[in-house]
Amino acid sequence: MTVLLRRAGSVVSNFAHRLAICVRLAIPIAASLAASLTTSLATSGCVETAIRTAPFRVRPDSAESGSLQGPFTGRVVDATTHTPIAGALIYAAWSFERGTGLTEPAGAKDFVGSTDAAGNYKVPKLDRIPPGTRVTEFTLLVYKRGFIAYRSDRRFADLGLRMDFAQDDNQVLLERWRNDLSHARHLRFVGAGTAVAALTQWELGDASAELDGRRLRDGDDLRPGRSEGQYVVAAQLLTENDIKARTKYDSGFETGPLSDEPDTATYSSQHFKALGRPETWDVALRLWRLEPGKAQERYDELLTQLPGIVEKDDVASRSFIATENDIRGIGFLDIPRGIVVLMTCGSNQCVSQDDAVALAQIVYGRIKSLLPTTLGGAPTK
Amino acid sequence: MKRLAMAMALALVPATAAAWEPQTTHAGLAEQAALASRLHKRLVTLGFPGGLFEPLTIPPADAPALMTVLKLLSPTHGSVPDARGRQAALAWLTAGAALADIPASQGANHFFDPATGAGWTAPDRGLTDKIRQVLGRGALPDKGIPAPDWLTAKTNPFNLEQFHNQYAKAVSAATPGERSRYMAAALVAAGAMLHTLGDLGAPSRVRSDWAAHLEPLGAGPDDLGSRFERIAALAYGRLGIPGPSRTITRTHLRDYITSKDGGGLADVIARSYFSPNTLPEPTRVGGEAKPHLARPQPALPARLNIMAANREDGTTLRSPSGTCLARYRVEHDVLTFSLDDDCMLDQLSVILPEVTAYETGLLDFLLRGELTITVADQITVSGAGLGAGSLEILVEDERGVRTSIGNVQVPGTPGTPGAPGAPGAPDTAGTAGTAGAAGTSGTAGTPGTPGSQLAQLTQIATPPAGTRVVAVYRGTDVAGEPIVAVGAMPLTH
Repeated sequence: MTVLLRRAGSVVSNFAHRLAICVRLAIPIAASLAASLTTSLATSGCVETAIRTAPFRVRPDSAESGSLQGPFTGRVVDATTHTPIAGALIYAAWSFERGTGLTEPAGAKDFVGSTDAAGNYKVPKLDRIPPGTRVTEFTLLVYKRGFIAYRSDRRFADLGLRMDFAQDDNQVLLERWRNDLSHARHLRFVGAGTAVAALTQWELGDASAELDGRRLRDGDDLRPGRSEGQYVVAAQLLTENDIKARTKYDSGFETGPLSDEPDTATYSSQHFKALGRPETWDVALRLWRLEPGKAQERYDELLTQLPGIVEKDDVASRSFIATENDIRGIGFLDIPRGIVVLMTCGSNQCVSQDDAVALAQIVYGRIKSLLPTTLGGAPTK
Repeated sequence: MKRLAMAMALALVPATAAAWEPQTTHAGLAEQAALASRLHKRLVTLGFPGGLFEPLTIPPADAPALMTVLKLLSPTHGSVPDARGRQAALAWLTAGAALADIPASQGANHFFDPATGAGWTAPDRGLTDKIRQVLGRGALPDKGIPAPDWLTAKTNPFNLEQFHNQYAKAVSAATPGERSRYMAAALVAAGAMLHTLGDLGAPSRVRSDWAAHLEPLGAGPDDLGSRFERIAALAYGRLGIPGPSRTITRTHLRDYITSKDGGGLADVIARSYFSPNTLPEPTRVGGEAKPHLARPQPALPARLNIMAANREDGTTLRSPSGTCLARYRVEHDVLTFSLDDDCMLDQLSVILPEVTAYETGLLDFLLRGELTITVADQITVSGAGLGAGSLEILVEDERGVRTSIGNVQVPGTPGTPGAPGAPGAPDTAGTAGTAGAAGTSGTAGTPGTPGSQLAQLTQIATPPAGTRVVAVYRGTDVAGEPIVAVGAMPLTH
């Protein structure tokens, strides 16, 4: 009973504290507490957001706790050679929760990016917390084909707690993949997120075979990315921040693949759907990765099928712009890499064609960074 | 070292709490159950060659409400489908385990006290709750449906009947796309049922200790929850949940939660552990210290170590197997009991593998129905431990399209529930009569072998074309429990 009273007392004192804060914000409490609360607190902005204490340090050499809100910075290197790893997928997600006592998940916000040539990454600060929710978790995932993925919360080797993640100047050591490791375990470890799932779906066949007690032989599975070579998905090529920096758009996007065609070994898409706005605020990116000859054919098909085409050739090997009603399109072909890109941008987002071209240049820059060699293995400019 | 790491993590997060966390603990429990169960092999048999890693799709347009709810989950835990509604079978199961708490009021149906048979009852917190309601914050439900009843409740969108409906269609639907959709939905329902069972591994949920779920542990005043369950999430997350040491087999669905033999998860946990507010009551030391117990079990040893309890840090009450049950100490001549984080961690290391064992058993129970198909001039379908029900046989063509080639009523054997002459048996006279009697022994078997004797259910002519024959039985088993039994066999011409 003593314990119960003590705990109940804590609950009450917490509410008393809360009331005190709210009361200061609102009009003075009248004689009737309930009546005042009804008329004033309900409109005083007391439905607040909260952020839990982060389970990681602010810096590797600090004892101070970091912030779940971010921003986050770090560097990704090869665990064996300590050379920087460029083009690794950076996937970050914040989890929200709401409710009291009986709680429920309340959504998530994610960020997709890549490491630069020096292996550095930066995840921007969480800019908005949905009203009435609290931030309960931040998870960083780093993935590069040929390496074991990295999670900020758990280690792959023993699935134990990771204690060395830091908000700033975090050091990510990616260990090389070994054939004796389990793909089933790795897929569970990685989790999901559409960009991550697109990059790791080649492991599905191996994982399934493991559960059957067998190993896949070469040629058994032709899922995306299973064949050797580098692999890239559309989500790695353009970020929300890229768009906002160029167009000065100050609201949010819902991101994910387009629903018209599934991601495959040769195709990937990413849709930036402007929240609460018509599609003239949207941006969409389609990426084909093919043999050079097939890439040329795909590009030529686009030229013949899309309306209002004007060939400009100012991005990559060849490029065009296309316009239909309020949607601007720009496509380009990178022959050495076998890449074809088609980007569409609504006229409210890309006010001028220059905006669309500038975003396409960003995409092409990322492609060169992520795929520094051609399909034949020769370095390209 | 592992305990030290956990302790350090907890020290870094001294003040956070939530419910028994759906996206970490529950998802991890469901994953471990799936990996240890027969689910992978069953999926492969039924034409989902990737098994647990087979991508399954629910087109968002077909289930907009489900997709809206799934968007509330964090993708990093592996349970959010892509824009086309596609993810691996294992992810659909964990999605079900994660979304059973949405909306939050559903969580009130995940409690059960075997001593009283009651579910959740909102604790009366007087003025606090009134203020909460005035503030418009989520008021707690007054009552919940007891967990054993919730598994079959009509108001539960992921109840047993829903699982059976979707599972049967995942075999009998015509096209691969439809079957993929139904199987994903069946796995969501199964995951939610695992969640309901798994929640009863928390002592407070089975000892009517509702107040333990309102501990002010978070950064904000609304961040109330169970410290025990939050510690589980912090220490184990999704990925660190241990696998089962065994598989629990029970005859009836309800027995996984509670049974007369005391072998249900709620029974075991309720009698083995204290919860924060059902600890032995404080007692003045003098003569024989006999603290009053809210319930007879766990019982206190005949003699407590009062000398050790007088030390500043007190001493530990342990179970016969050495697990920490509580700390106790004497201060100002009063003996008091408490549960600290380290003690809870010790309990979790024992409880979580036990919960996984029950969840694995439940998953195998849901999938226990197995039909044997042999193909020669005739297709013969056999099963074991089945009562009265209906059987459908289908043939699959090279496009993957399945067409029904026979429906029969299986009468069951005399003495089995629903069989002719048994109380409440349906009238099966006049139905297609090719089914032979299900020659089951009538003994209640384990989920792996309900009944022991394989009996021929029907025999029909082998179709001239097709790549695979499948069969679905829906009815009751020898124990009277609803069951869907399935089987598949390739056709070679």
